[in-house]
Amino acid sequence: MHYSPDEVTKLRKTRADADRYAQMEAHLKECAECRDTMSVLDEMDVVLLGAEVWEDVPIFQGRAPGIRELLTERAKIEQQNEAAFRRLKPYLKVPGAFEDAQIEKDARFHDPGVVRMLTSQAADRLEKTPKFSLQIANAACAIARKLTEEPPRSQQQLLGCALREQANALRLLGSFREAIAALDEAEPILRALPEGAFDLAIVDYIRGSVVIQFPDRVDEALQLARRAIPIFRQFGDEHRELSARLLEAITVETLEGPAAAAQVYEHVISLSARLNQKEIAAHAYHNAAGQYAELGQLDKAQWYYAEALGRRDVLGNAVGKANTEWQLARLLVLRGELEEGAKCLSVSRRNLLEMGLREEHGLATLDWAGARLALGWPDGVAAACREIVVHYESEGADRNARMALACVHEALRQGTATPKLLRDVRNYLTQLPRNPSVAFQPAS
Amino acid sequence: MKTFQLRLTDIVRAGRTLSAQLGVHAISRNNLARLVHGRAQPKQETILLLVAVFNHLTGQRFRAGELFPLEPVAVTGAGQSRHAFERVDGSNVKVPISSGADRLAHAWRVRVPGETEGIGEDAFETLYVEYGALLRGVAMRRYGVPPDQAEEMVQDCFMSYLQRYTYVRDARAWLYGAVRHRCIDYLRVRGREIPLEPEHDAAIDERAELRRDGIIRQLTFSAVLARLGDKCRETLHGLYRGENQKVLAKKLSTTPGYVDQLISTCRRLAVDVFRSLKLRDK
Repeated sequence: MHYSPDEVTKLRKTRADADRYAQMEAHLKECAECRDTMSVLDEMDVVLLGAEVWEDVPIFQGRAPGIRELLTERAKIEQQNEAAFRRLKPYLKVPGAFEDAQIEKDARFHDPGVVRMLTSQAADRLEKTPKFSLQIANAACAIARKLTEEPPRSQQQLLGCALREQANALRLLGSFREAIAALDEAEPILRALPEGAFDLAIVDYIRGSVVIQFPDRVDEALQLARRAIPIFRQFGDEHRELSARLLEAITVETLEGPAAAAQVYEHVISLSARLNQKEIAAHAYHNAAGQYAELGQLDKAQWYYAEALGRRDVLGNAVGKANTEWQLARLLVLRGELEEGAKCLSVSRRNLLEMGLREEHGLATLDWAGARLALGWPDGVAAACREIVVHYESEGADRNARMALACVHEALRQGTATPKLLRDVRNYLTQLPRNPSVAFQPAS
Repeated sequence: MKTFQLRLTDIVRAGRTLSAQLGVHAISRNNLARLVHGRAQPKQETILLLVAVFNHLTGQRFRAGELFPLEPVAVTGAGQSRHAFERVDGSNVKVPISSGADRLAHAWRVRVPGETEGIGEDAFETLYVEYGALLRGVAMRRYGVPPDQAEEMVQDCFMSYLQRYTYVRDARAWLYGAVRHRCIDYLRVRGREIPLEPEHDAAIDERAELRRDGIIRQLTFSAVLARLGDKCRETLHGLYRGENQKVLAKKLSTTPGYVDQLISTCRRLAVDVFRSLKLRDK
């Protein structure tokens, strides 16, 4: 049974009937609807005492100014988009059909609606079929450049967004320099637009995601992420904010150390939980755990790895799960549980190899080998380390990695290998992409 | 009818006057009695006429959905959105395109259930009318932007949104950010101090900050009051100014006993309007 607001107010004021009052308060604890009603009324009772609330009523009365112009524009855009989508639909099913259609050369497709729909379709396909996404974005750019009869601002908006999606697709395909070139072209165009700050933040984020691939530009990636984050927050775009925070976290790991990185990952965890982004939450838990492990907070690290593992299990993310299980096994070793740790590392390295994760397998093997040596169980260690295969993009890094592993093989052959040597080589290989020209120096 | 002590004859008489103005058929006493007792189903024009009659007689701003068990269903015609109103029992009541009922369209609006704040015409218009007014209020009250410029600013932001709606997830949050940006630029250009905003750094939850924002809170209630009828507004204004029952009764040309009932009803309506506005929360 619900209570009317008048009844609640009266019972609260007079408290004449103690039983009824108690029943009413108990009901309010249970009933969200009544509680909400009273909450609104309580707020109203405060706000309506002020003069401004009454003075501002005319703002909300009468016909909204400029509504006709807006509705006309809306209708025009909607019609253009619907017509464009109908025309494009047959060619968007497969890349071959799209390529054969050559719509950028067909004047029938040269209108703003087509560019908008192509840009939107390029974005939708980005993660699943980046090559097709690039094809579509290229067509969008080509057509946008031809719309010289459109009002300049409209054409700039269309071209800027198309270039942005082109850059995004190039990024995912690993064509980083071309991606940067597209962003360089998009930036001045979007800067000149009203509310350009929002579009520039997107450009900053994409640029950050590209330059982070270059070890000497991680700092720039961090600056770009930090420039984009407050803009996304101001415009209420929490999904993009989340992506930018993840980028920030990855760069902070490298540049500012585990304490700062852990803090950023906490932000990511909180935001991804709010947005129900389970995959990102799992990733953030995993990475945060790594930071806490580095800080020596092993209990917290274990808890966070467990959170990541649970989520990845539910999501069916086998690769992620294998990675987290490997890190949990390493944590056991860090805690001094060598035998259990070695057992788990043995399982992990096999899983990683079966999944084709060669680099991870190599590192896990070094972890396992270190644990075995610490236990005084050298059997099988040399053979396992010989299975390690490394491959780095940079020739220098590749060469240096082989030299570091050669140290391990030689030490194992001579029977002088220690857990510390294996740990040092392992850490060296992890850092190598950032410092490809630095050779491994075994501790004397 | 009970709440406002309306008789069938009051409604029929007012209906005759309004129907002539609106160009729709009047309703007979018999027909009205059958509707009230559930022995007949109203046509669309009748619903619209009765809503106008009730609003006229009570000073409230009722919507069709509040007086009749209606559920609107959006139907997309050839490139144009129309609304067909399907009653809960499944019968179809269509809005006629060109009739007097159409002239009533702007006086009431039924929300389409499950509709996002996307680019559908009604959704966009509602967004502009309700939320746009709130944003104008924020520009004027928090940033001191003059009314004309605030109006222009908000309209420009809505235009910008139309160019970007395909990649903007949260229209209201985006528009709020856009208006705020413009206001800050406006103040910077004039060398004026930018007012302190609700603290953002510590809180991840931007929407929680909006809820705590006093200006937004106040403007939301201004929007609520604007949606109430004149009588309700006057009643509540008197109540919060501390006017007693006798004074209010005299002002409203009614009895002191009825004033209590009116206050109760108007407060309840205000809560309903507040909930329906969705200005501050999703």
